[in-house]
Amino acid sequence: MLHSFSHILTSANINYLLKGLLLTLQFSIINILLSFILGLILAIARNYGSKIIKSLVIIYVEIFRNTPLLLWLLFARFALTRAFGIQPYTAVIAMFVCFFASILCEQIRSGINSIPVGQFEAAQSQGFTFVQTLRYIIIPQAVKMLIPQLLSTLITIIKDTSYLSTIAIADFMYQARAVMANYITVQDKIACYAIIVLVYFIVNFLLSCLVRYLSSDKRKKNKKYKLKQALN
Amino acid sequence: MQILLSGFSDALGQLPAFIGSFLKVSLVASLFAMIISLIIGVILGLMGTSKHILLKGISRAFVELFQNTPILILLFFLYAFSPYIFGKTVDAMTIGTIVLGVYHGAYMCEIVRSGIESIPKGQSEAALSQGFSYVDTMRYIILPQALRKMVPSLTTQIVGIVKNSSILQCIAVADLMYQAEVWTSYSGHCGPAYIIAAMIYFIACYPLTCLSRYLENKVKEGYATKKVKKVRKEKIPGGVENAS
Repeated sequence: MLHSFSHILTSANINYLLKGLLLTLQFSIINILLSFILGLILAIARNYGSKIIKSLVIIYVEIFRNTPLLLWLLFARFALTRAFGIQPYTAVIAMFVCFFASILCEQIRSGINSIPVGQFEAAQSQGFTFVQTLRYIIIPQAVKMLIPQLLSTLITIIKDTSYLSTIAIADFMYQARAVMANYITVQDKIACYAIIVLVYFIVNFLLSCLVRYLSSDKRKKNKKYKLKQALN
Repeated sequence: MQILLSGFSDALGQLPAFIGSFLKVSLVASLFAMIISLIIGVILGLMGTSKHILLKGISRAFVELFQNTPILILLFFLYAFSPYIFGKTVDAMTIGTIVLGVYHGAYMCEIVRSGIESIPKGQSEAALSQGFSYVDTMRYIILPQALRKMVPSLTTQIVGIVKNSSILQCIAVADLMYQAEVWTSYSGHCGPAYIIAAMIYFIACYPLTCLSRYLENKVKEGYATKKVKKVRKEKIPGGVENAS
């Protein structure tokens, strides 16, 4: 078995796989940033908008939470590219952003709703306008609380980029399956699958360890800071 | 934009075929995957809360492995190697059901484990002081309380199983997504099949999401507050018989 690893991992193959991994990570990071922005807009619109905007956002979020991602990817690849004449990569990024913005909207809403009302009242007493309250006081606190959940969503996005391989976009899984097509014996194929699983596992496991660290020690850090402030 | 809706009437003629494939293939696969994942989730969840390091480690390793790898790679792996693993050729729908069940079993395991660990430790200590064995503690005291807390998350996971059954189209199982794609490539109209498929998935999953939200609100209320109100209303002499 180890012999198959050493004869699959030639430098040409490793280059090929690293290109795919680069595209996967680049795709995931673009997606999480854009869906965070869109999710923030949707969350604020849902909480503080007029009734029409609220119901539109609710319809949008419910549509994307109750339908599978693969459906929207096929829709983007075949229908949107023909309808709007854009590249498949762009269409697929747009669909991913729409899908994950609905998930992030719910998470950001729960973050904003968990901030005590006293913050709003104090800001109003100091003369902040509503937009200034959101921008300087509420959203920084909410985002700081939400970073573990955002990283969990990043893990989900990295796993879901594997669907791109079924639409012939050259992410890591597509490249790895192309490498696997060169080898015939069962042991070589098992070794290729093991490489794919190992790479995804390492990337996601590191991120989930980061999530666990951020959501556990942060409270201790805050207590230390408060103690320091109290003593000084 | 017009291109997305062209051929909608032709696609509506295919609606019985779409709904038939959804009910016969997607929902059946989701049902069996749900049963498999609940069984795996409960067994591994109980293993994850035990004190033996070996059982805890197995549960933890299983959950970490299946929560950090994409479901598509598990599907392709099992599809390619099923003759070697099972010793005979297994049809694609069984493979898809097994993969769905095992993948979501890891998520169910986490839900079960967090549900059991959210019960205060005092309950199991009190049970131990009364002489309950481990099995009796779980069966009469801990699991009834934990199940009430777990049900909303379990319902959300069931919605996830129905949505993830769309991956079956990658191994050429004739479910809803496969039918939609085949019709799209056959007729050349790019939009309507996917829109109709989205509507069918929405109609199937939205009631479950609403149910999950309703159960979550009901769990928040709790049963104890309602009973206390009842006893207070019927406060007459001999109130013990009236308390239900």
